[in-house]
Amino acid sequence: MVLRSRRLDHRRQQAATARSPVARSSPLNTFTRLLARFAQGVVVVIIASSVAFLLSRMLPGDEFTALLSSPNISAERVEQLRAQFGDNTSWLHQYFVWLGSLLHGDLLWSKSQREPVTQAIARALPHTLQLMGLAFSTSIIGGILLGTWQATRQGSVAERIASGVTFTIFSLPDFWVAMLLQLIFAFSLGWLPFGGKTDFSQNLTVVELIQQQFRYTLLPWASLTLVDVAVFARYQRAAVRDVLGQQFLRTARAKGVPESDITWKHTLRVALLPMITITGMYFPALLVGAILIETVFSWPGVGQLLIKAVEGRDYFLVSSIVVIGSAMTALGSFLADVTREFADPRLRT
Amino acid sequence: MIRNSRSVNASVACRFAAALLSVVVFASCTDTAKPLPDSVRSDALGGTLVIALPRDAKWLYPPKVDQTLDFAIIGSIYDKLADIGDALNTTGDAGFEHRLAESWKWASDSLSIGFKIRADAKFHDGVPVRAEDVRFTFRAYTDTRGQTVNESYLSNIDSVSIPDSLTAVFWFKRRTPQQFFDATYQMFILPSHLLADIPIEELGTDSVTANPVGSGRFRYSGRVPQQSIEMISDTGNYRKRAKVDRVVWAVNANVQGAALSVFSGDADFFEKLQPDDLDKVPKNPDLKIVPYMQAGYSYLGFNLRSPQDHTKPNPLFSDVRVRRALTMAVDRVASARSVLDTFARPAIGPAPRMMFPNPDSLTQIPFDVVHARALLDTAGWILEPGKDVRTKNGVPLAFEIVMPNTSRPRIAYADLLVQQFRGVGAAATSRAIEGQVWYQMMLDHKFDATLGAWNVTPGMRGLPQTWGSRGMTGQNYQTYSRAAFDADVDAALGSMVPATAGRLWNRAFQQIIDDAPSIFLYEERAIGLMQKRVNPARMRADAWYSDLADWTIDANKRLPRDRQSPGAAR
Repeated sequence: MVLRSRRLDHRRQQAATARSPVARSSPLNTFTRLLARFAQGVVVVIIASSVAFLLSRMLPGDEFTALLSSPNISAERVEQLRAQFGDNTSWLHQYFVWLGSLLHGDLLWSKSQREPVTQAIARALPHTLQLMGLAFSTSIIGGILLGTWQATRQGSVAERIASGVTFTIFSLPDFWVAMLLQLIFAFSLGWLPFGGKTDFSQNLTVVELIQQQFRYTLLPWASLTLVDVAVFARYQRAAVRDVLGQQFLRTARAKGVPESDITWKHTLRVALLPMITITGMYFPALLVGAILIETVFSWPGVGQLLIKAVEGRDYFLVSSIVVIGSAMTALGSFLADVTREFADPRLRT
Repeated sequence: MIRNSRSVNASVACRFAAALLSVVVFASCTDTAKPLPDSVRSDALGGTLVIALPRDAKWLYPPKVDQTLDFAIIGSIYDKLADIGDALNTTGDAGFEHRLAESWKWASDSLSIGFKIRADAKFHDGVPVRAEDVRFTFRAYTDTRGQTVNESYLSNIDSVSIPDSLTAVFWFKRRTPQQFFDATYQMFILPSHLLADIPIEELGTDSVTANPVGSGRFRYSGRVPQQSIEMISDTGNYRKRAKVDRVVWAVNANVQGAALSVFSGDADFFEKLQPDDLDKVPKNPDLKIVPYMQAGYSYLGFNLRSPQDHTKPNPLFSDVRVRRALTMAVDRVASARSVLDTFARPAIGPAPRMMFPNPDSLTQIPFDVVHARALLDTAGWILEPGKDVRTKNGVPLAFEIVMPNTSRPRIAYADLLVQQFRGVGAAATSRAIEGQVWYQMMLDHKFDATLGAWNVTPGMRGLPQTWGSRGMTGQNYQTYSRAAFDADVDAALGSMVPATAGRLWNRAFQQIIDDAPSIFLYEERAIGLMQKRVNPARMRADAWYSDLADWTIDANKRLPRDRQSPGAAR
């Protein structure tokens, strides 16, 4: 019986070891895994952008179709222009030209913006980074703080109210929140502008310039942040709740560690790990932006550029923005994986 | 410990709330919409006019411009030799106003016109305007190596010669009533000294035309792509400076954004308020509406060919009795009022009444539901007892109406059409689709009926394209073809005698009304949304911006954006 018990123990130990991440991980394994994820990301980018190129090419109409809105321009002239200035090669040929250029780092020419694609995106990018960077950072911080607070106040009246509010906001589309904020603060109260980035005043002092930027950024920022804080808070609350009941926290309390330290140091450190993954998923928005928010507020970012590119059948610009978006998705996911590898001691040898 | 943790959390929350509140206060404490004191400007000159655009301008190089929005901008920076008058007369030179040309002289055989350029006219870089610029402009507009779009209207001009530096002579291939119109209306005079050395294929995308230099009362001063285009008053202009110091064309994401920017006070004017936003205007004491005529009309076009097989006639609409019956089913007066209130009236035919010599002489198909039902019965479309939809040989009288999704009035009108057609036993449905998709559908003739609209340039030269046999492979989406109509339109366009032309137009219009390939629904007045501080000048039907340089801003209603940087308007 002792022998059977020892065999059982040994088998249990083997099974537990097989499941243990410590045993699975080694520096070589980690590197190999990350390299595989990177390669996977490259493949995803190529596939996603190829699909975007081919789908946009299949849309009816081209850059010359809209000329027919004017009765002064005959259909024959439109055909002449198409023959003279359009790309009359097959869509497959166009795709391989585009793919070849992409692999050489050349995003080609934007017909809707009449400048190189790189230049068009570089012009719109700072506006998107300004808005999304601000929204992203405040949403993460706000979501973590709120979610952690909710988890530690579970069952209280305040927490229930907060949960109700975040659930409601979580359920609302961000463009609807944007329009509601416009209605209240811009249209009804007249406190803030409807959209754009400037009121075209000249000779502004530095303080006035900063104030102007605040006024025009506030509503789009709030539209994004409100919804994203609610999203992040819900994930964070769930993550913190999972950690709160764990053994090591009871040990810490028994040792006399202050409750605030238990919450904000020990619990949060572990509960932040899922947030790393979620943050990675949010990463592409930093560059591609929130298309609907940019439309509601006439924000001149990459999202707006994409809308105009689709309307103008600017295939190269559409595909290039999709390349960037999918690259950011892959990069975000990859960075999240790398960060987790280092942040989670259970994954380190 | 728990109490300490709660106090810490409450303290953090209070500090956070205070920080947030101070941000909001800081952001809103400077209201740039407050007016400046009266001492800033005491005269009517000056100020910054912000005009909201629903999208960015596509071209600032005139030979490539095809959209009204772009014309509004270049029409302020560039000048023509002469401009059309309020009556929009295109026969001869009656009513045309002098611009760069101080005078003109017709040859005795009318096959040439010599224009004398004003000696004091200069481009914005100080270089005088000369006849060579006119000749260069004609070449730039007509050389098909450039991606020009309006050269068909210049096809009757053979060449431009310059006997001296201030005289440009246009030579015509044949006499037509619109010779003078062709030589002046289509072309904005370009600076040859800046553009002549640039390959014609590159004009429009080069760095020089990206910073346009014209001779208009406004000079171009800068552009932020996707955000704004600015121009300032040319204070040394030969026609006197523009009355405002600066015009900013503020780019918005769409029509709604453009309107909202005016409602919020960030812009002074938007050219086309949607009718269902009209009720918001009275709630804002700083706003007013400025209706102005538009040279356009909307119609419901029936596809006369089968959408599935263009070689075959349409089983529903090839019968003129069906088309006339459906026309009779629509109360165009009530429908226009329902959608656009007093800002629209029924259209008279394939051109707005302002361009038609004698609109009251036309006999329209009346609104008569009883007669419509009888006509459908006669055509064999029978309404079985207990049924709602007529049938003929098992085929229901059912069709789809498609329209671009950008026009809210048309979408609303489509709903009214569906209801009224139901009253005579026709089952119509409506669908709004994306603009490019709609255009392609029209070109492919793959539709049953379409709710479209045309803007008509003075002279109605586009009619053969939109309703004539010549346009069957192009913009004549309905494939309407009637030899008598074609002949009358061509004859009217070529007639040198206004009375004869009027008679021919009358006959052509009556023909197409009787044939009813379309229901000519309404012609609308555009509804401009404007801040009360702005005083507009004349807003011509074909070009509301024609006198933009004479718009003023009340001196006692200036805003901080009306401040100018030194040297902005010299």
